[in-house]
This record gives sequence, C-alpha cells and structure tokens, in this order.
Amino acid sequence: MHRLLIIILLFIFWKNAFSQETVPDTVINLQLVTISEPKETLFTQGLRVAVIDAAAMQAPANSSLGELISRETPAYVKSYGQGSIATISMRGASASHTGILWNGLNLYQPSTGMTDLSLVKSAFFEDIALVYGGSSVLFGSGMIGGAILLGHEPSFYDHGRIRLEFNTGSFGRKEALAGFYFGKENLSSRTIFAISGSKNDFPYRDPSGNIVELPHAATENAGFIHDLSLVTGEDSDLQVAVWYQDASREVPPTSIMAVSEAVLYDRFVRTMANWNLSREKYELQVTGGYFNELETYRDPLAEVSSRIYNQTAVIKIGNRIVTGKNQQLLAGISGRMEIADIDAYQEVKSDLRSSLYGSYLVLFPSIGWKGSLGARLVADRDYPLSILPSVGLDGKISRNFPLRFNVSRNFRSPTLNERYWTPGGNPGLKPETSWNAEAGAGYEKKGASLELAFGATVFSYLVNDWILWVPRGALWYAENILQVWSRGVEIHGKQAFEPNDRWSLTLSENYHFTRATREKKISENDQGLGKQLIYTPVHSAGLKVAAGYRQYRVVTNINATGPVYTTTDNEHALPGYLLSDILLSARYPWRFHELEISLSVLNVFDEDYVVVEYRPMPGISFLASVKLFINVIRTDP
Amino acid sequence: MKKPLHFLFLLPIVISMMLFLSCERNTIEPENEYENKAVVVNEGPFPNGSGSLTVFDRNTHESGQEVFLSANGRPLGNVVQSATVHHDVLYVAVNNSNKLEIAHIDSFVSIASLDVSLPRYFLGISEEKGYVSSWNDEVYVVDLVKNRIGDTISCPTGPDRMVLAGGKVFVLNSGGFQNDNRVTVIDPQTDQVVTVVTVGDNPSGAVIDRDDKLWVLCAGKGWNGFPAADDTPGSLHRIDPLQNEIERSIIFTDSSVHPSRLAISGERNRLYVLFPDGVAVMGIDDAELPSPDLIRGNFYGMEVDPSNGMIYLTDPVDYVQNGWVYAYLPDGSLSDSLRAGIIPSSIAFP
Repeated sequence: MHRLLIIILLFIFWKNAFSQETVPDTVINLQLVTISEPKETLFTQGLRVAVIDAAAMQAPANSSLGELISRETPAYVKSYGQGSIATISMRGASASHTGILWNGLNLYQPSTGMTDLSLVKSAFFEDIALVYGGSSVLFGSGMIGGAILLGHEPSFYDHGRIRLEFNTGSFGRKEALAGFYFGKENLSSRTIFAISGSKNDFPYRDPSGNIVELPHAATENAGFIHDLSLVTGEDSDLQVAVWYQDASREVPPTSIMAVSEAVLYDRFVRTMANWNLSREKYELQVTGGYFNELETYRDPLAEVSSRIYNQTAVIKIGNRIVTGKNQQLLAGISGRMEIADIDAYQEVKSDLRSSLYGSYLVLFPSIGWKGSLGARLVADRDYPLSILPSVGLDGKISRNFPLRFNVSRNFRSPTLNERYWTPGGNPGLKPETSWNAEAGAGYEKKGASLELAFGATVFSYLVNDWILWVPRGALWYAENILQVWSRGVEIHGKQAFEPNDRWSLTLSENYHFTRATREKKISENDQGLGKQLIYTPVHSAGLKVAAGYRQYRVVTNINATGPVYTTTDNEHALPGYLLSDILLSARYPWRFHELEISLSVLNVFDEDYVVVEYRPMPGISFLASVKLFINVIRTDP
Repeated sequence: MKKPLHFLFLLPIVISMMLFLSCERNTIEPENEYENKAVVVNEGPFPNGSGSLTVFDRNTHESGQEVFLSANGRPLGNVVQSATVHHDVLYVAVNNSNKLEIAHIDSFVSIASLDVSLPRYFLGISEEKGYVSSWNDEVYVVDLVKNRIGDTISCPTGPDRMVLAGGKVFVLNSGGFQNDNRVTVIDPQTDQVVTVVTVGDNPSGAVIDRDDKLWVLCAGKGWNGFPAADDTPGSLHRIDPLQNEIERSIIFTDSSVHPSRLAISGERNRLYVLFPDGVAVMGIDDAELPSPDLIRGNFYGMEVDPSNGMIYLTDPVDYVQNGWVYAYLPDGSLSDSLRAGIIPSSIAFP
C-alpha cells in the first residue's frame, strides 16, 4: 500500500503537457459544458433549476450532500457539527418541506418526513440539481420549499474506468473511495465504495472562554452504490440500483455540557429498479423502489435507548406522450407504502399513499416559450381526496432575457411521528397545504469565450395547517395549528470566461432574502406572531471564484449566513458568520490515465461560529486528496 | 467680591456632585436589599440552549433577565432545574450540564462551580453543610465552607426535592426516568439513611405546615390526557416527621388526571395543588381536596411567596420563547404578570 502511494507521488513531479483527450464523466474543467437539466424537470415550468457543478461534486470537502449544498448553494443547511446530522431548509421551509429525490423517488423517512444529508455521499451520484419552489403536483408530498434531485444516467458506450481516491485531513478526517465504471453498447455499470471517518477533536472556545477539544465526536461510516443498466430491447432499458450506507457517530456534548456518551447508529439499504420504454412519440417509465432504514440512539447517561425502523415501498408509472406538434402530455400514477416501527408508537404503524398526476406541456418554439398546466389527484388511504393544480411558464423576451412564472398548490402529509407518537400524536391530523407563487427574470448571454447569466426570482407562499408540537398542560400534542408566510427575493449571477484552452475563470454569486413568519398565535400570550421562524436566516449570500490554468485550478468559496433566531419570539439570536474555503488542485495525465492531487483549506479565516446553538464547529482545517483515474477501456462516447 | 465668585464657581460642581451621588444611590443597591427580590429559574431550551435566572422585585414585579450571564459573562448551562437561597448564597442545580453553580444572591457573581452528576435540588442544612440530590440515585453532601462535594449517600431511585423536618432530611424519590413511590429519610448528623417511607406513585412535592407536619404530594402514574391501563391516581399524605409515619392520606379519585406541584400558603395552613387545568386549595384540616377551581388555566410551575402569600404560576408558552410568570392573590384573583426567560419553572425566595 505504501509503495503504491510512493509511485503515485512520483507522478506528481512528472509534468506533462495537458492532454486534449478528455476522459468521460470525470472532472472537465477547461471546457464550458452545457449541463443539461435532469429529466424530472421537463414539466416543472417556471421553477428555477440550479444544477450543481460537476467539479464541485468531486471536491473532497463536499464529500456529503450536506457539505456540498451548504458550500455551493445559498440554501440553509442546519448542521449539528462536522459529520453530524444535517438537514436542509429552502426558502424558509423546514426540512420536511424539501424533497430529496433519487431518480424521481422521494427519500424522506416515514417517521420524520426528512432526510439526513450527512448520510448521502456526493460521489455516488452523477447529477445533482436543486429545484426551488413547490413541486408537489409532480412529485408528491413534502415538496413545498424545494427539491434536491439526485440521479445518474446510464452510459451506454465502451468504457472501463477505475477511480481511486484517498483523502486525509485535520482532526483525523480520512476517506477512501473506489469506483468502478464499466460499460458497453448495451450495458452500463457503476459501483462505488466509500469508507470514511473522522475524530473531530477540534479545538473550540467554550462559553467561559477556554480553548477545549471537542470530546466524543468521532464518526465512522461505510457505504456503496451499485447501479446497473441494461438495454433490454430496441428502445427499452432497465436500470437497477442498490445503495447502502451505514454510519456510527458519537454525539458530542454541547459546549455547556460536560460530557456525553451518546451514540447514533444509522444503516440503510435503498434499492430501485426502473424500466424505460422510449419511442418517437411515447415514453413509458416504470419505477419501483424499496428503502429499509434503521436508526438506533443510545445515551447511557440519560438512560435513553431508542430504535427507529423505517420501510418504504414505492411504485411509479409515468407516461409521456407527444400529442401534437408542440404538445406533450405527462400522466402518471404513484403508490407509496410507508411503515415505521418505533417504541413510542407502541405498535407498527403504516401509511398508504397513492396519487394520479398529470401535466400538459405546450411549446411555442417560434417565440421560445413553454407552458405547462398540471394537476395531481391525491388519494391517500387516510385522507379525503384532494386535487392540486399548478401552472407554469418558461420563456424569453428576446434571445437573452429569460422569464419564469409558476403558481402551484402543494402539500405535505403528516409524518408517522406526528400521527402516532405516544403520547401526543394525532392520527386525525390533516395534511399541510400551501399556495406557492414565484416569478423570475434574467439575462443570459453565451459567447464564444464568455458566458454571462444573471437572474432574480421573487417568491411568496403561504402554508396552512402547518403542524407543530404544542404544549397543552403537561403534554405536547401535534396540531395543525400554524400558518406560515414565506416570501423573498433570490438573486444569482454567473460569469464564465474562457479566452483560450489554457485559461478559464468562472465567478458565481448569489444572495437570498427570506422572510418566513408565523401568522397565527398558538396560545393567548404567544409572542411569536409575525416573527421569523427559528433557524431561518433572513440573509444568505455566496461568492465562488474558480480559476484554471492548464491542469491547475484554484477555487474559492465564500459563504455568508446572516443571524438566525433561536426563539420564536425572536428575542435570542445567533450571530451571522462568514466561511471561506480554498481548493487548489493539479491534474497530471499519463496516457489514458490521470492523477489529481488537491489541497483544501476550509474556514480559511478561522471563523468562530456555530450553526446550532452551543454545537461547536471547527475553525481552520485542511484536507489533502489524491485521486487516480485509471482508464482500462477507452472509447469516446 | 471673591466669595460670591467662589460660590458661583463651586455651585455647578456641588450641584453635579449631588446629582452624581443621587444617581449613584439609585443604581448601587445596598447589599441587603435583595430580600425584596426573588429569582425565577428558567430551565432553558433542551437540548441546545442555556437556562437563565430572572430576578424580580417582590412588590413591584419589575424584572431583570439573564442575571447570571450578565454577572459572569457565561451561560448557566443546560436544563437549570432549581435554585435555592441559603445564608445569602444562591445554589443553582444545572441538571444536564452536571453542575452545581454557587453564586452571591445580591450580585449573582459566581463563587464556585461544582461538578455534580445530574443534580436536581439543593437543601441547606447548616452554615457548613448542604445536600444536593442527583438522578444518579445519590444524595451528595456539600461542604459549604470549602465549596466541595464530600460524601455520597445512596438512595432509591430519582432523589428529587428535599425538605428538613423534625431535624431530618426527607428526600422524595421521584423515580428519575422511571417510577418510584418512596420518601427516604436521612439523618443529617450522620449522613445515613434512617428509613424509607412508602407513599403514592411519583412523589413530586413536599411542604411543612403550621403544625410542623410534612405533606407529600404524589402525581400518580401515567400521562395526563393519555390514560392507560396501569395508571394510578395522585395522592396527598401527611407525615409525622418525628415518627416517620404517614398519619393521613387523601387519594384522589380520577386516575387519569395527575397533579404536578404542591405549595403552602404564607400562614402555612392552606395547601395548593397544581393540576393540568388549574390550582386547587385545601385547608390542612379539611377532609378532601376540592376541584382545581381557585385559579383556572394551564401552568407549568407554582410557587408561593412565604412572606406575603402571593401565588406565582409560570407559563412557558411554546417552550421556545421567553415565558411568563403570573402573580395571583391568595383569593385567586390575578394581580400582575412579569416576563421571564425560556421555560420558567420555579422561584427561589431568599
């Protein structure tokens, strides 16, 4: 193992002129790549889709989806610490109002309605995109604030590649990754293994001003994903995927607690199969998935031991028909069974959901406009029928000025915890519903060596029957008690400059303003009316500068997060913070293979900050990475 | 001519000195004025967040927030369970931070911070000694001169509130994270357990009445609003602290409604019991406890000011914002209210 490392290191000192041969599916940093939007967004007219840069997905510091999104987007990721639980909040909505879709299937846990982003490895996916806004009509429950789309398209051409990666960093952070990509004309296979761990014993300043090391914060996790696609006929293919992840995480004490012995253990297996039939005017997609997730939490000091076992089975059949010269119809049916086994339920509980959804897309190619009208009929077992409409418009005023518009009705069904937790759960809870509206405009110009894009979106949505746990007497009850109004402005820009095949410079900047306020009192003397939701920053901004020269690259990310309130009366707040990271990388090709080494400096200015009150976060840290891309079989796609 | 000039020159200086001194008199409080003040204990949000102390004037109900943080520049810690004043010193049990904070009652400046596992309540026994109960199923002896933890006294589960009666310490065994139904009697001269008295399920409150009898309130087993088969009703027991025996018990009729707090009036002849929907009042010689009709509403904590009989009830609203403390007169009418911190739960009276 050590000898191999030395051989790899020798390559570092052997400079080669950068080869023009590009290796498919690896980091392409000197060409402007038109990244196509994921196919799920074909009918989401009017919603802003932000595709995450492929290079950013491969940055060692962005190993988990939580880190990737908090670094690369202005969406707010509530993280309990390095490697700890991380959940996303988009447009002021909570984590259960943002959907994480894996090849179109929603990954939320039946018990909580959320997904822990720290357990999703960025390297397991080829395409990651964020969709801002409500999309329940197409994707079902929980899509009020936005969605994260994870996907991987098959690669049906001759190729055989191995990717080996080893990262090591401050505070005992280590990661090893091995990926095997293989394909032929009628077969595509990806298998990626990842093992990582970190001691997380970073120094931080406790409330008394002493510098102490964070105790009991080590994490260890292992996972793999295998994705196999087969061409099954002239115009059909079958995709099967298995995704496994386990994580064992020590839960550190907060900075005002002396000690913790709590440990959180997670393990999930997610499987899915997808059969596509693609004809000239007709497309059929049958997708099925089964997710099995176990989580145990043990705190010997508090004598707490809990076990959460979630299972989800989902089936989705979607048809896309070209009904006319510029018209398409999407019609689908989806069914979902959710089962959770938790001590607090006293018996296994389940939920059965089904929906019919459809969208009618009309294209106006002469003026460059697209419009879609959608509707979803929700026929869940435990709720009355409901119909949700949506209308969206995507177009341009002249070549360079895109416009977007979308109005939709969205919903979130109560989670199994909200319905069945004993005591306090309420099986009679109604789904939360919302009306969402947004409009966006921008400017885009693509030249031979310069690409400019600016955009601004205004949005407003009102959620009714928002479920909160409220104290009544000595107990807490889940009630459809709150109304939340969230509105704001999102501004983003991108400037990419590539004068020749040696230099490139890309700048992207964004700013989000989000006012999400409680519009109902939960009791007579509730001082929270009209106040900002907790842990929802009003201001959030980011700047990214990426410069490349031949095979060298420097990327700087600067993220500013404004203050957040920690109490519903907004009388306590955590200060805002500015985080800056730098990535320096160099790639060395040799024949058809490539070596990439990089160094990341995270939190360059050693900012003393917390995301969640009294949960310490690391100061400046380093991460070094060595990646080897070995091409065994090579053909251009 | 010089004298008047001198006078004119000095006058502004004298006047500003007078103003300065009078200002000082208003802002610097004499050390023993704290007797007019009481301290609200705010548990703080769980698990991320710090509890706090709110000081208020017992007559005017003016309040000052986060007094420990202001005095010491650091937060109290997670889940502040209780505060007790003993010989001019404030002892604060910070349950989830595993600390007993010791501070001056007048300035709140910290004297010492002791490591104690899961502390619940402090009881001052003499000028040199105190006890702190811990959900580690132990009572620790505290040396109040050196501010150190000394011996350990093992106990049945969840030692909680403690009272001194008949020269002995009565410790309620609340069960901690489980259920228990006992009161442990400890001799503070020897720090040994003398006996254990069995009462009802989940003893949650204890007061001494005018006849020097010990009253213990038991919550009973079960969740309010979620009746289950093995629920037991709440109860009140009058114990003779000299004989360590129960003299009288009142078992409540409804086993699905569980009281949580016990307090006694200023004259120590009327008992107040806090139920989920209000406060019930009973004379110590009455046969049974009436319905909770004295004060209606749902409250988290209940305390009575021993000097004037004012009944204080706390309201944490949604437990994620600053709460309220309501002041009621002994006849049940609302007198006043004051803002407290996050999850106000009890009050320490000097």
